[in-house]
Amino acid sequence: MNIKRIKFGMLILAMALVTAVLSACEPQVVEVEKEVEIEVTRIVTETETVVEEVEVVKEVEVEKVVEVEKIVEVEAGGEMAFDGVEIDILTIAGDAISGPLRQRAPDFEAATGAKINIVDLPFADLYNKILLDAADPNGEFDGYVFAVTWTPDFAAPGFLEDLGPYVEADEDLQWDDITPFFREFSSKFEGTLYTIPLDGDFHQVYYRMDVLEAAGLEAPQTWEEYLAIAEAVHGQDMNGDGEADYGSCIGQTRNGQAYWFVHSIASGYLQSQGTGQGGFFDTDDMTPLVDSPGFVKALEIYKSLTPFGPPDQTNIDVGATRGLWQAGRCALTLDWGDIGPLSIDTVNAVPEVQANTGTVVLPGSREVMDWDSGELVACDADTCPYAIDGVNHAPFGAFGGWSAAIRGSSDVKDATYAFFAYMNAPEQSNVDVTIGSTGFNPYRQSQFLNRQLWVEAGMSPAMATNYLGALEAGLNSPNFMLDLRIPNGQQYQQVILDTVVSQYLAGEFTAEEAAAEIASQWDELTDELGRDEQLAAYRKTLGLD
Amino acid sequence: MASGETGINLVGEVQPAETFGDRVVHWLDKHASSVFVLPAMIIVLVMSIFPLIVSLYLSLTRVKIAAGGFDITFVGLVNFNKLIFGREQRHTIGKIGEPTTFGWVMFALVVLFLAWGVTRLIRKRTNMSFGAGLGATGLFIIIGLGVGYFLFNFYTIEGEPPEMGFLGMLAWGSFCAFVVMRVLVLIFNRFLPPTVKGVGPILGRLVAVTIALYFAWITVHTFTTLPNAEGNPTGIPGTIFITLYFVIFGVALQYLIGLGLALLLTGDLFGKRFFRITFLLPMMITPVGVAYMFRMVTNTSIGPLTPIFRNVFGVGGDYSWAAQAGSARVGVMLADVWQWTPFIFIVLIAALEGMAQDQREAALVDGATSWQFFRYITLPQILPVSTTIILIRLIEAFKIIDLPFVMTRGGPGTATEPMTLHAYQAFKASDFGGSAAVAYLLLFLATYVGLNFINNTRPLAEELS
Repeated sequence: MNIKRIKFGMLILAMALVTAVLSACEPQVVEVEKEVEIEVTRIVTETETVVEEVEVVKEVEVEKVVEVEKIVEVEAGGEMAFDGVEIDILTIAGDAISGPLRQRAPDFEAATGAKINIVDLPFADLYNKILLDAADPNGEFDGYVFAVTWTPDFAAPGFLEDLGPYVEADEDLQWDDITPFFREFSSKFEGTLYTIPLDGDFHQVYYRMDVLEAAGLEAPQTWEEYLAIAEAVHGQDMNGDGEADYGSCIGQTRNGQAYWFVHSIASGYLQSQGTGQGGFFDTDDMTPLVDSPGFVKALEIYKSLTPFGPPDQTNIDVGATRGLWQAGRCALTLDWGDIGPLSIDTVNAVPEVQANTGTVVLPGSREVMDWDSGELVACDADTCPYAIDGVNHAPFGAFGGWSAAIRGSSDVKDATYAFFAYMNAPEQSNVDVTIGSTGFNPYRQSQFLNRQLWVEAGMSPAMATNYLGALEAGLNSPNFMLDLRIPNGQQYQQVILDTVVSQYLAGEFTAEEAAAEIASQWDELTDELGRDEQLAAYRKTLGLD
Repeated sequence: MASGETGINLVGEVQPAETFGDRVVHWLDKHASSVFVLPAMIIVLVMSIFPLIVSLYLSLTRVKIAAGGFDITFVGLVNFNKLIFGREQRHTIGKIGEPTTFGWVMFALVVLFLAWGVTRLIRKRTNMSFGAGLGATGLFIIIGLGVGYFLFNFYTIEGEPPEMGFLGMLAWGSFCAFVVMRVLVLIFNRFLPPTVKGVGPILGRLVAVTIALYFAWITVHTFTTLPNAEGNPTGIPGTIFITLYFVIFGVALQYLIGLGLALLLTGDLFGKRFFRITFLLPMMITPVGVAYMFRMVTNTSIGPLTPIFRNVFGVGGDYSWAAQAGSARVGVMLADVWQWTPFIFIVLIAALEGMAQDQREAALVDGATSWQFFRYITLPQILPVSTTIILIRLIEAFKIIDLPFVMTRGGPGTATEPMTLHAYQAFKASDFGGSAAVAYLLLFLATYVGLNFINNTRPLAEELS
C-alpha cells in the first residue's frame, strides 16, 4: 500500500515538473505580440475600404494618337526554367495590387513551371508582418510587394536581396525605360537597388473640365486658385441629379491618407531648389521644416477646403472620395494616378466624368520659403529656379508606389525575381496601368508615350493626352519632392503628423500651434532614435552623400 | 492518518523509525491539497501571470527588429515618462486649457466629496488625532512627490527633466510607492506588527483619492475649458479621459436604460416574449457591424435617417456627427449603449423575476407607493446583481476599440480615441515598448476603477439593505 502511495505521489510530482519545464520553454516576446496582432487583424480586416471596380469592357473606335514601336516580347525566364519551384509572395489585400498579381500568375506558371502563391493582408498589418517575416532567416515568404517608403526599415538591417546584379543581367526588362525617379530614387536605398517598381505613385489634381469651363475658370496652378475654384463652384449640380455637389473632395480622415495630402499642398511652399533640397527636414541638422510660415499656409488652405467638400469630409478616406468622383459629385480632387482609369470606368463612372476629367500637375505657389530668413518670399529667378509661369511646383511622390522586393534569405530568389520581372516588363505592365482595378499607375516612359493603349482602354484622345501629359510633367520635374523615407518614417507621418493635423482640423490647435507641435514631436522622436543616424539616412535618400 | 496497524502505539510504545518512503508519504498526505492544485496553479502562472510580466518588461524597453529577431534595450520608465510627461503627454493626458466656471464648480464639488470621504474613513477606521492625521497626510505627500520626482526625472535615458505637473507627480508617485509597498507587505506579511498592517488600507484610500483628484483636475482642464479666439476650446481631452468618458457615462446610461426596460417587462405585458427577444438582438451583432450601422445611421446626408434629420432636426446634408468632437463622442457612446444595454437588461430581468414573492405581497397589502416599492423592496434585492454586472461592464468598456475605430477612426482629432486605439497606433508604428506602456496604463486604470467601485459599493449595498 505504501509503495502504491509513493508511486502516486511521484507521478504527481513528475507531472508538475513536466508542466513547469514545458511552460518555461514557451517562446516569450513573440507570444505576446502575436496576441495583439491577431486582435488587430480582426478589426482591420472588416474595415478596409474597398472601392469596387469593374474592368472596362467598352468598345471604342480606335484612333491612333502616337505611333510606338512594337515592344519586344519578354521571355520570362526561359523554357520551364523553374519547374516545381514554389514562390510565396506577400502583399496587400483588396482588388488592386494583389489582383493583377493573381491574374498574371497562371501565365507565368505555364511558361516556367513555377507555382505562385499569393498571400494578402490588410494595409495596416502589412508593414509589421513583412518586418517580422523578413527578419526571420526561415521566413515564410520569398517576395514582398510593399509601399516603397518602407524600404529603409527592411533594407537597412540587411533583410532584402540586392537586385542590382539581377537587373543588370536582364536586358529584356528594359530597365532604362523606367522613368529616372523610380529607377534612381524610389527603388534604391543607400545606392543599392532593392525593389522593382510595379506601380508609380505621386499626386496630381483632377478637375471637371465642363464645370470649370461653365464657370469661366482655368485649371488651378496654385493652391490659392484651387481654393478659389472650390469656393466658386461649390453647391452646383455637377451630375444632373438635382442635388448640390461639392467644390473639392479630399479625404481628410485620420488614419487615412491625410498626411500625404497635407504635404502635397505644402510641397510648393517648402521645396523650390530641386529634389535634393528635400521637403521634410533641414539637411544640416534635421530641424523639421514643418514649423514654418509655408507649412502653416498649407495647413490653412487644407482646412479652408473642408467647408467646400462633403459634410463628413473629415471622416472619409480616399476610397470614399474616389466613389464621389466617379458619381460626378466633385469639381476638384487631389489623388494618385488612379483617377484616370477610374474615370473611364463605364460601369461606375457617370458620363459627365467619363468625358470631362481633366488632369493637371500638382499645384504650387507663387511664394516659397526662404530658409535663411525663415520667411515666405515671392518667386523670382533665384528663389524659384524651376518655376513655370512664376509658379513653383513641387510634385509630391506621396507613397511612392507598390514595389517588389525579395527576402535575402529566400531559397528561390531567381524564380521570385523572374516573376517580378515578368510583372514589371512593358508587355504586361503597359496594359495593367491602363486598368483602374489593378491599382497600378504608370512608371515607364513607354507608358506615357503610348497613348494608344489608353485610347483602347476607353479614354478619349484629348483626355489621354491631358492625363498622361500631367503625369509625365510631374514625374519629370527637377523639383519633384520625395516622400519621407527614413527609419521609423511611419512614426513621423502616420502617428505624429496625422494625429496633429487631424486635431488641427477639429479645431484643437491653431495652424501655428499645430505646426509647432508637429515640429516639437518630430524633434523629440529624432533625438530618441539618434539625430546623427536619422540625419545621415535622410541625406542619403536625397542623394546628398 | 492513523489506520489499524499503528493504533497500538497509543499506549506509549516506542515507534519504529520512519523510513524515507514513509516520510515522503506523510508529507504528501499533509500537502495533498496543494499538490493537486499545483498543475492548475502552474497553468495559471504560465497563461496569465507570465505574459503579464513579459509585457510589463516590454513596456520598460525599446524594441527594434533586427536580423534574426528582436533587439531589446532596457530603457526604464522612458515609455511611461513619454506618455505622462513627455512627447505623448498631449495625447494621453490632454492639452491643458483654461477651465470654465462650471468646470471649477464641479472640481470644487469633487474635492469636497473626496475630503468628506477621507475624513469619514479616518474617523471610522482609526482613532488618530487631527494633528496625527495631518502629519500622516503630509508624510504621504512628501513620499509621493519624492518617489514621483525620482521616477520620472532621473529614470530617463537622456536624463533630461520633463515638464511635470505637481498633482500628476504626486498621483503617479504615490501610486508607484503604494504598489511597491503592497508587494513588500505581501512578501513580509508575517513579520509586520498589526499597527503597520492597519495603515495599509488607509494609505490605499489616500492614493485612490489622490488619483481621483488628479483625474478630476485633468477633466476640468481638458474637457470643460473656455473657448479661444476662434471659438474652439483651449483644452483637448487625452485618451485617458476619453476612455473614462466611454466607461463611466456609457455604463451609467446602459444601466439606467437596462433597468428601466427590465422593470417594464417584468409586469404582465402583452407580447412580453417578443420584446425580450428583440431587445436581445443588438448584443448578438458583431461590434464592427454595429459600428458600420451607426456610421450609416448618423450620416445626415445619405443615411437611412436622413428624412428625420432633415425634417425633424433641420440638419440635413450639411451636418456630420463625426465632424464635431462632442457629437462624435456621443455617437460612439450611443452605439456602445445600444449594443450593451441588452446584457444588463437580461441579467436584471432574471434578478427581478427571482425576487422573493412574500415581501412583494406584504408591500402590496400594506399599500406601498410604487416609489417605496422600488426603493425598499426591489432595489435592495437587485443591488448585489447590479454591482456585479456593472463591474463586468466597466471592465469590458475599458476595452472599447472596434466602435471608434470604424465609426470615426479616433477622430476628429483625438476626440474619440480611447487608450486601446492609442496602444494600437503605437503598435502600428512598431513602437512596441510604447504600445505596451499604454496597455499597462490601461490595466492600471481598469484595476483602479474596478477596485474602487467594489470597495465603495459594498458598504453602500449593506447600508441600503
